[in-house]
Amino acid sequence: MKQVLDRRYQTRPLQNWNKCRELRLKYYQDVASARQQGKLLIGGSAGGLSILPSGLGNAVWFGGETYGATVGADPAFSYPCMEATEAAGLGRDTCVYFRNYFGSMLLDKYYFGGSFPKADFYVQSHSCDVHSKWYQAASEHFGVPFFGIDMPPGPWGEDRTEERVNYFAGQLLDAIDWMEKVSGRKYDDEKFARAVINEWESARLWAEICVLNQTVPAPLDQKSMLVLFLPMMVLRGTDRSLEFYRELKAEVEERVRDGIAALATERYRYLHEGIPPWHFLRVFRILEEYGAVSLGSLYMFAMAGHWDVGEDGVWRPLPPFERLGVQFKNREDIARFYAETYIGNINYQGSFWSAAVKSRQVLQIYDQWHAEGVVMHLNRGCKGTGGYMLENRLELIKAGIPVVAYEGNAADRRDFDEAQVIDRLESFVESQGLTKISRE
Amino acid sequence: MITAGVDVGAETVKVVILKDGEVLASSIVKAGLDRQKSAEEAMGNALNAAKISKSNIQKITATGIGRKEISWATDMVTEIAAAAKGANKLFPSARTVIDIGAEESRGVKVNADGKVIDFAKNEKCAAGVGSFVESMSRAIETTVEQMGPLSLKSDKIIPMNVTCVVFAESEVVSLIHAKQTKEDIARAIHEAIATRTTSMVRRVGIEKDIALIGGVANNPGVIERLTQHLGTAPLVPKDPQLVGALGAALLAAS
Repeated sequence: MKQVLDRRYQTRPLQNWNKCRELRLKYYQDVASARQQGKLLIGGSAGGLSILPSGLGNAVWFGGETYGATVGADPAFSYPCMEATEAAGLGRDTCVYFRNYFGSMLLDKYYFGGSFPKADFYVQSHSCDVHSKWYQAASEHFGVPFFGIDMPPGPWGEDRTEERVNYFAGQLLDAIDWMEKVSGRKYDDEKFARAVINEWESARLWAEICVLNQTVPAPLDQKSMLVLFLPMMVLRGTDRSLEFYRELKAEVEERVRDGIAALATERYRYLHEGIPPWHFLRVFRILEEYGAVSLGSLYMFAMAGHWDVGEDGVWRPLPPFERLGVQFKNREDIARFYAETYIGNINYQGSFWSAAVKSRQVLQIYDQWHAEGVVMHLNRGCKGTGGYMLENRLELIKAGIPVVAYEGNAADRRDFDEAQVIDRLESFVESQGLTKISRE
Repeated sequence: MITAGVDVGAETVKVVILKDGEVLASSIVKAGLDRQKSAEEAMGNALNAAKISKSNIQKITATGIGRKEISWATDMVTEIAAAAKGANKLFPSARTVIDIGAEESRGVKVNADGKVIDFAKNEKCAAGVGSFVESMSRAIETTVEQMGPLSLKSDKIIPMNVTCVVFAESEVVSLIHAKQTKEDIARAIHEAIATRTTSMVRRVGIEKDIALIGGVANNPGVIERLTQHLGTAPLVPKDPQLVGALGAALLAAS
């Protein structure tokens, strides 16, 4: 029997929603048309080192993971892509974003129409077990140059920083010299500095937006946030991205002030840990029918946000760039600052490398965001972000936190059993004492 | 108050009718492709046995994997909630409920009121559930009903693959070629089910008493192997496959 609620929060659509979708579509069109417009098209990880080529000017970065996720969200397009990758001899347990991207490339079919965009060159760090090889293989497919950057493994310990930062920054400087040679363009350090500052500010604003979701009722739901964090992944370091996050933050602050909820029937708050199944984002809507709102996740907060996690473990957005007192005197200064920011990312420092650190991070988010339960996606498509999940589950249970885990794949619908997942989620919310809410 | 629970499972549809919390009648029919029709048949049989008409029932709660297909149900609950409630009614001391059906097995941790505290389910493969036993019985040319009694005649432990039904069947074929007896193979199959089930239930923590429900609880071979692995004999009701429907009927009344 559906429950009739006697209290509902006010809600309204996000004004910045359509703007975000337009930015996304425009970005993918830019990727397709970059070379015809005389722009450089550079390939590598979404987010990743995308701001590094900014100094070359007039360039578009084609990020692989967001594209892989986009393809994976549409099984009709995705299946032939993954089959093409597998037919080329790559295992089904390889990164699912890679399989979607690579198959799309092998079939020469771009999801947004036309041929698969050929990059002028690729630049990539070893941020996980697949990344470098991914773009090396793409460069070999197109016969274009590739530059790989060795990434110091995390998490940082007592003997960290100087050596690691210098090691990474040195390679960034080498990459800049290399890009000048292969592109024939002169590298402009001012443009690089501007992109680094834009990235810092956008990521910091994203963290502030995430913090606003600690409010009860939550002004945003995770399904929407998974779209709203896309500019950080595909337009990192650009003026457009910074402008978007300034406007979004102002809007979310307004929602908090006016008590506007993402879910009018909010009565249960949870975290959805792990990359979601992009082909089945309905997981969030199913739980909303019970009045359960997802507040975010370690993955989503950390992948796009700049955070200061102090000794007390509390997650705080990093301060504005101007308050850091950083002065760039030369390219080396910019590269060093960028290197420290890049390898200091929460994801690289925690979830990729240490079950214990990741558990602490999830527990902290759980407390700070006033969650009451955790839903975990055991994503079989990503070794990096999907690591340690069952260890994390045990730690959460030890702390008395209700957890449900469901198995699936972020972008391979073949690994996803819809009936079983729905049944598991419904069993979980029932065990939390929730029943479906009437629309009345 | 008269209520009914309808458990639409993968193999059978079960109906329990309650009057003021006590069982008036029950029914089990084979689930066909048309679950709605099978449910109608099961409900018809139960109504006849109870000598009442459908209009006498105030509330009908559906459960089971096909619960959403029952248009005439007034409410729905998951199998987990139904299993916990039903087992709690029959065995109030049970804190762990193991439910092994045709296509799913579940471990449920419950409190004294039959409320679900935590649960675990088998993942995508049917190894370790009812359809596995059925498939293996065909492989050794016996009936599913004979599997339990056969295995009780063996005292041999043969390790067997438990991750996949298809691979397990290949392994059974190998065992047949290796001249292992039907009794030993049946025991190996039940051993495989018991290890897989125990491992799943450990995810929620095993706390006594343990109730064993679902169609597979009719198999003495599984009970014997589970007793060994759990370190205690599970409590098994008279009609273990009806417990989900009983729980649904109880939840309808609550």
